[in-house]
Amino acid sequence: MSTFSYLPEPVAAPDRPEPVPVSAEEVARAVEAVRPASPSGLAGGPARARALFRVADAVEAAGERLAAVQSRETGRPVRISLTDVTAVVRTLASFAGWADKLEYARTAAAGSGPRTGVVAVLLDAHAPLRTAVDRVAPLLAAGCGVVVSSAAPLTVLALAELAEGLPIAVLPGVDPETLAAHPGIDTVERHRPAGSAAVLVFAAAALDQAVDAIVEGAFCAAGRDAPRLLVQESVADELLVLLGARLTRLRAGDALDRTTDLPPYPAALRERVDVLVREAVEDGVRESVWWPGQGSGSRPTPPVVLVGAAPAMRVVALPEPAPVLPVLTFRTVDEAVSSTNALPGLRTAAVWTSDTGIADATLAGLRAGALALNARPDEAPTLPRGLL
Amino acid sequence: MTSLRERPAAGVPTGPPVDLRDPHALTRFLHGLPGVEPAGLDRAAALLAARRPADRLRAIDLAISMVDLTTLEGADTPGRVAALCARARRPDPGRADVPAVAAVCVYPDLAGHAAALLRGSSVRVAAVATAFPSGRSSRAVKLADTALAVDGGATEIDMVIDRGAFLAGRYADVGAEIAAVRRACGPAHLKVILETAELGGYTGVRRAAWLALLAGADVVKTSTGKISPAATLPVVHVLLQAVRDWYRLTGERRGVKAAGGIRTTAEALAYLVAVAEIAGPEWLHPSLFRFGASSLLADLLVARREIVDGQVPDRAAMAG
Repeated sequence: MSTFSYLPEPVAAPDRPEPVPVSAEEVARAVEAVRPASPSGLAGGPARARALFRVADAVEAAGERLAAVQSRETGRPVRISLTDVTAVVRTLASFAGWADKLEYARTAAAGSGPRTGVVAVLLDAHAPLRTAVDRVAPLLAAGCGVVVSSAAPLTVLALAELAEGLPIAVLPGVDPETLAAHPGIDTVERHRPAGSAAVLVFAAAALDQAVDAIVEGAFCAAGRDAPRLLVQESVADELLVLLGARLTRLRAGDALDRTTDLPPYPAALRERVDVLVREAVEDGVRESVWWPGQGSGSRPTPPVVLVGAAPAMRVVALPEPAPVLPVLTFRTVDEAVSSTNALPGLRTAAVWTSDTGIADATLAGLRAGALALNARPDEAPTLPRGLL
Repeated sequence: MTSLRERPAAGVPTGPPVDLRDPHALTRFLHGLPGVEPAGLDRAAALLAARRPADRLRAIDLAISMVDLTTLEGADTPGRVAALCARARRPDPGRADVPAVAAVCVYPDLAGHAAALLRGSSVRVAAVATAFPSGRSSRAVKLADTALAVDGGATEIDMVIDRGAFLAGRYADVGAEIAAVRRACGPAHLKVILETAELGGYTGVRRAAWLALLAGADVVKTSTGKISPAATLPVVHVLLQAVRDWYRLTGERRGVKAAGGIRTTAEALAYLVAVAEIAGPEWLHPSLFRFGASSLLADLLVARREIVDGQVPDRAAMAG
């Protein structure tokens, strides 16, 4: 019925402005401008705490604008960008709380040498609000100076404008390696490699909500980690029916429209997805390849679900940030735990079950950066966000 | 490779999955249904509520055609019912292209009066029966109440379940009562009011919806409208999921009625989006989705005139 048609249409990725190259003098100026006065980083703690709290407030107040900037620059759907803002505010407030307590957190092993300096933070374009704050907030709380190079500079600049009184500089046009090699830089923080983000669904689970969370985490709010779905065999058919129906309801469109679900996929990513799907089929993805526009075209277009994947397949064993969701099945708790722990670079694992015994056994066995039960892992404010 | 659309639904349609007369099997079945994660459900409902139908005028006309125009006051009179019936046939007397509403919903003693007034129109007569709104009476009284309505000419019966029995876990008793009323309805459609606010959470709502479907309900309905909160979007999501799952299991399409608390066009359209998204576009039909409401119709008509005329109409002038 046309009134309610939401089938995804291909959307072009937004044009990015070409950044102006930065001169060596400008890099040197930025590095020296943020160099901390106190090598220990302890003296200014209370002042940094106040400054970070002020930034958290300012980010919250400017939330709509920041979300719009990020969505316009990266194509991340604005409703997801708004949740990013909420997460970022919590992270800033959390590290603000740490800034004046570091003296008490020091251990003997930490020694008495200098603990601060200038850090170059090199970020890619994945979820820039979150990744920038996840990386930068702990450094600022500790008293470091930060120089950021980002593949999404407009978003990070908008964020840095709100960080009044804190030693942070953003260099939009700088070559990341030039910045990293600058003699004034004491440490370099690079964006980490892609890991795996697993969702485990057991038979006794709230399937409708699990499916919403799977799709949201794998496709709508996708980050750097490769999504993997592990389903208990006895409920796999039922879950896949729901997942298939949910896929056809995903909406692509203007990133600034609050009803848009999917980011636009650049041509390079579409080609990469083609390769991943072809490899998966070569490796013997047993059941099928699903995508929302199926039926109207023969070539799979992202987001793609690969039903009947196995751990040894390249699409599972080599994580990369792409809207491709391999589905694996398991029979027992032990199998679920060992298959999940075997995923390379396991960052997050969400367990869906209403059976508390299964929940306890599974969560105790999983070795992931962050765990969640019947929720998406990044929804809890106290998690170690640098892992996400 | 099987494609997404060709993939068969889970389970070939096999008919009802459990024998209603076996209390233990019934309890096991209802307690074995997938649970509901409340935070996730609330978020999903809020997310869908941000969507709007592309063709607003068409969606408003659809909503109008799904309204059960309701008057359930002790002070209801034949005159009042007559006015309601006139409004049901021609919701906006000045506009011939406005569809009639789905039904007029009255107390059983007024069903005959309403049926006489609506003869020859598409508007159906619905009557609340079975000791509405509490559902607290003997089986005999409830069946007599139903018979009174059906004999009067009601073609739809809105019954209430015995929430006390449901909450006590006497599912077989509740199911048997629904089945008995179903038989007393004869050809009339049966809508089963779950009174979702009294069922102790979403998981209870899902169990009650399945119980009603198993017992033969044509439509599962949220509320009597006498208890707050009445219909809410998340609760209607649960009911829509139940009829969607029932269809996959049996091949039969059963309906949902959201009753009480829906007053504005924006709210009504959010429900239509949920219907299309959760159950499917096939459910966008008055035989499969209804609004139980008294004040919603006026707001729908105002919104419709705004679109058609391009200006805000004078509500006071329309009220007559």
